[in-house]
Amino acid sequence: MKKYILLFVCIASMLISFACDESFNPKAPFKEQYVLNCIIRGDSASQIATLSKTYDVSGFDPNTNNTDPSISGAQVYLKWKGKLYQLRDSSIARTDTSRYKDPIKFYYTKAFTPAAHDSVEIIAIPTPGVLLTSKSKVPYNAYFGNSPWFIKGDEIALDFRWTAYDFNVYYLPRLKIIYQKRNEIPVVNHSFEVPLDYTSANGIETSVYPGFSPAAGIEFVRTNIDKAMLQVSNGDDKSNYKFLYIDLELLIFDQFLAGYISTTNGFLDNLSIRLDEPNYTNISGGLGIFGAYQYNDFQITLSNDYLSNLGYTP
Amino acid sequence: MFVLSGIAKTNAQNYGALRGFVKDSSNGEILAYATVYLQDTKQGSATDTRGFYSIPSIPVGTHSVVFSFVGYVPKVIEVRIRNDKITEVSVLLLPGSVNYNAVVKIGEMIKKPNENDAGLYNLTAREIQIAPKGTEADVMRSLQMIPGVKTSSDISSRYYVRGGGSDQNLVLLDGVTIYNPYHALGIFSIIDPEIINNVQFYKGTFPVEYGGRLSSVMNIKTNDGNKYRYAGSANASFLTGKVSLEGPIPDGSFILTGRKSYFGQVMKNFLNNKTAPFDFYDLNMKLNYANDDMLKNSKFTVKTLISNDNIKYGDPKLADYTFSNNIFGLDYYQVWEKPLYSYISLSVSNYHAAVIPNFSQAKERLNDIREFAWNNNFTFLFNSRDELGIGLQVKTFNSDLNYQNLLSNFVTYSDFGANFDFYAKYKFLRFENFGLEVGVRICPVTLTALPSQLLFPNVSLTYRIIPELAFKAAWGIYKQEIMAYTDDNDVVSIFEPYLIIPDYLSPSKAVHYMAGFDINLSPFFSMQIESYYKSLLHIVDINQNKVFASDPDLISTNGESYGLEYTAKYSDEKLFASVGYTLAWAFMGIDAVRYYPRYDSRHQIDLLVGWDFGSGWKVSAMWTLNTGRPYTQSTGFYDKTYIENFWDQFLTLEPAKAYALLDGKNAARLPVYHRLDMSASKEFVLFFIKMTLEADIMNVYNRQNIFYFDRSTGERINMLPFLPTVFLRVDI
Repeated sequence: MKKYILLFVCIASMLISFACDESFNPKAPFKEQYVLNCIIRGDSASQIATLSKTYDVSGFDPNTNNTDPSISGAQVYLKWKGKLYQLRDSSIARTDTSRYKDPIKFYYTKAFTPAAHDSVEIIAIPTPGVLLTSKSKVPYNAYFGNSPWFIKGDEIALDFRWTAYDFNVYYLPRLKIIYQKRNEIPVVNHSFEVPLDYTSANGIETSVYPGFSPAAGIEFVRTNIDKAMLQVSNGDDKSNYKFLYIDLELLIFDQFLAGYISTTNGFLDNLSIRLDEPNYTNISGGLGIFGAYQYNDFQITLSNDYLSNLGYTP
Repeated sequence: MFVLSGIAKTNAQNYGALRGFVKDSSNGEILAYATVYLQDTKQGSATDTRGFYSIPSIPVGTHSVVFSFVGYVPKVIEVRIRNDKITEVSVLLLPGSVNYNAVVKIGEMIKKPNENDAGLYNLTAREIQIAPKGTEADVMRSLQMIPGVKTSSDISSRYYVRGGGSDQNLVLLDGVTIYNPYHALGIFSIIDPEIINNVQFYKGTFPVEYGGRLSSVMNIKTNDGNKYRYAGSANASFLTGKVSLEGPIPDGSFILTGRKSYFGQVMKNFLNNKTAPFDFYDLNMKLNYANDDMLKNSKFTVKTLISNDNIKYGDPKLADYTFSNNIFGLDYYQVWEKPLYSYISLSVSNYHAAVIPNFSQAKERLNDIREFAWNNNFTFLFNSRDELGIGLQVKTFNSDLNYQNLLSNFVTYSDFGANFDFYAKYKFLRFENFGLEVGVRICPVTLTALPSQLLFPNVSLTYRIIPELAFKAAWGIYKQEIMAYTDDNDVVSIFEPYLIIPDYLSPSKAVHYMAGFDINLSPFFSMQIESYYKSLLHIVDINQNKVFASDPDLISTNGESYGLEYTAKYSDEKLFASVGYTLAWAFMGIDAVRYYPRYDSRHQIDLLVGWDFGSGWKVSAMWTLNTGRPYTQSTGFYDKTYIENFWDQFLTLEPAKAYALLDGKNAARLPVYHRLDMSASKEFVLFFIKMTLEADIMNVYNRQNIFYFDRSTGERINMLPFLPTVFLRVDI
């Protein structure tokens, strides 16, 4: 009997030892690189860039790094219309201090507002001997010739179509109701965003808004617009509200920014698991993104009949 | 060069032929790979996958013919062979448990010593049933214990053969192609093991009648159904409920099986997403009709498979998923008066997959495949024992794929094409110890726009050096015009669509070389050693460097694989034991950056032991070891800006998330994988009902085999833990 017990103990010990975890290192030797992010705005003179470097952690969880990898004091330039503008070193307080306590470091200039299709170049020297560069162009403005100009009240949907003149650009539209409150002093323009659709789960209704897309158009059904119009007063006296127009705002992202955003939104579904996401950069000599976007808007007039039918005073 | 014996018979001698079917006497099911041999001349053969055998060139006179099969009582019949005539003898073997195994094994050693079966593995029902099941017996999981066959994880039945991708494997159910034959993320195949009669599995160098894939062929033949009485069974596991019904119809039989998932708790152990509401079912039906008065020696079959998977959360903020396979086929099998038999079939195979995002962030995807196939196969048996096979395969193929690619572009691939493939092969079997098969597949009409070569030749030979030792070698060229749109970076992928290779890419091509030895040291013990080299050309892959919408979604790459496989099997009436070892290398992207695909593993060991203790008790154990699979190491991290709020914040100052920078693709290795599974079952009778109770344990010693490493959190995700399960089967 002792022999069998001994045999059992030996086998069990062997199996338990097999079950043990083996040392496993998912990390290769650390390689230091620099990261430059800058998105040129076509609607503002305020241009911002950030500069940081890669880091390593003692374990495997990168979120344990509490040392801000941002770099201040570097030389960052924007080149526009043949002229070089150096960006100033600055910082703002961080709202989320769960990981880093220091203020957010950034570089900025308010020296120029690039026009549509202007070329802009960025040059950064984070440390002597390291040069990061990239080029981009502000997208052209969109042409809304095929979009509706006003709401009469008998439409089933508002089908917005626009024409762009750049390849590989992406769009982000937003439809807003612009209104005023009649008894409000001073007079202020308020806005209410129209959902693309509504979803309902467990009795709770949620609004769904437009997303990033390469499609040069979007359709809002009238029932959703009507619902949003009624939500503006939200049970209040409707005569207090004065509606000005509906505004379709559109952000147009250049091809570099479109590519970057796409690769950072590579989520497939909640069941598939992707190990290695592609990492897109257009920064020569480093990582990050240098892109540009353009802002356009298009106003739609609200007819008196339409407002009257909703119970509002035109 | 070769020493050949048993020189071909001349017409001057008096010879006849013997042919027929071997079936189970209890239900009329055909017995594939049963052995038939003549005791005096030692001539022999094995039944094919339809239970048909043929032995030509038998000297005129009376011979004692032995019919045998594992698990059946052998039968000896005196047969008179007449000059230049075909004698037809079909036999019914009685299932039994007497000590007959030596007779069976001797028959197996005699059957076709010069058979050209390089790369062929006949997976027996015994092997499928004997392996610990974990959740359920599954033919595709059973494949994974065959040397040369690998899987990428515990949770998937998807398999990779000799360094080829999973979409390079052709799966045929009674000759009909099945696309994505999996339930629930690949955890199970849609083929209910209850319906399987036999499985031919070619690891490479497959014969010319099989085309359209680069790496392997699995040809599953299903049962015909009981021809003598009505019978049914019910089977319950933690995961599914199954019922089957079979019985006779006038001049034929039917079989109907259905399986439905009803309890997902066990399945969720396989998944990271524990809340996924998996729901699937499959339904198999087959009708057979054979009336000698109407058409002698003919058989007609109607078959269908309906399979459906749904994952529906009932929450519009989450995506829903639906997948279905529907196949339908008509077969006509005829054994002619001449030593000729033919097989003609018409079939339809439809596959549908959809990811319905609702209002989630999931990307919308849709795939529809519609295949119509018309197969014609004729085999002529010469008196010299040589065989001539010719055939025509016509296939039309529709594929529609709508999806959002990596750049969120909506992409549509919609294509229609047709194949007209002719093939011919000649088997030189006239020498007792030497066999040569030469074949060619002619493909004048192709699915793809870019041209492919016209001829796809195939050669295989067998030289039996001594009765216990045979040398085998084979070579062949294969092409594939249909691909699965899968991303190598997905460790779990719910959507794996198929499409015709787009017009801007060439069809994929593979060249196989194989050589090895079969060693039969005793009637109970056999060994096999095979080496192979496979060259893969124009393999279509997802373009990971796609940045702009105008960049191609797919690119062409190359690969190669080579290795050595060893199999040893011992089988008697009580004990079944097998040992498999694989030494293999696989590479992809040779012309660009050479890397190891995720399923590459240098060493693989598979041990399987099953023991029948008698009195209804059976136990089995399976141990698998794989050296580490490739993975990509991280070289550091950076805080990557994930732009989520486009409107209200400075875009570059958005909150950033840690992003891992990658080293060389798949340049490192995960730790060694090994796992022990055990099973014990007991058959008993309760109230005149036969029942089988089985308990299985997966990962007996709870080995922490890594599945993947989440770079964003540093979390290590392991594969299956210690997992016990219980099944009950009821036969009526």
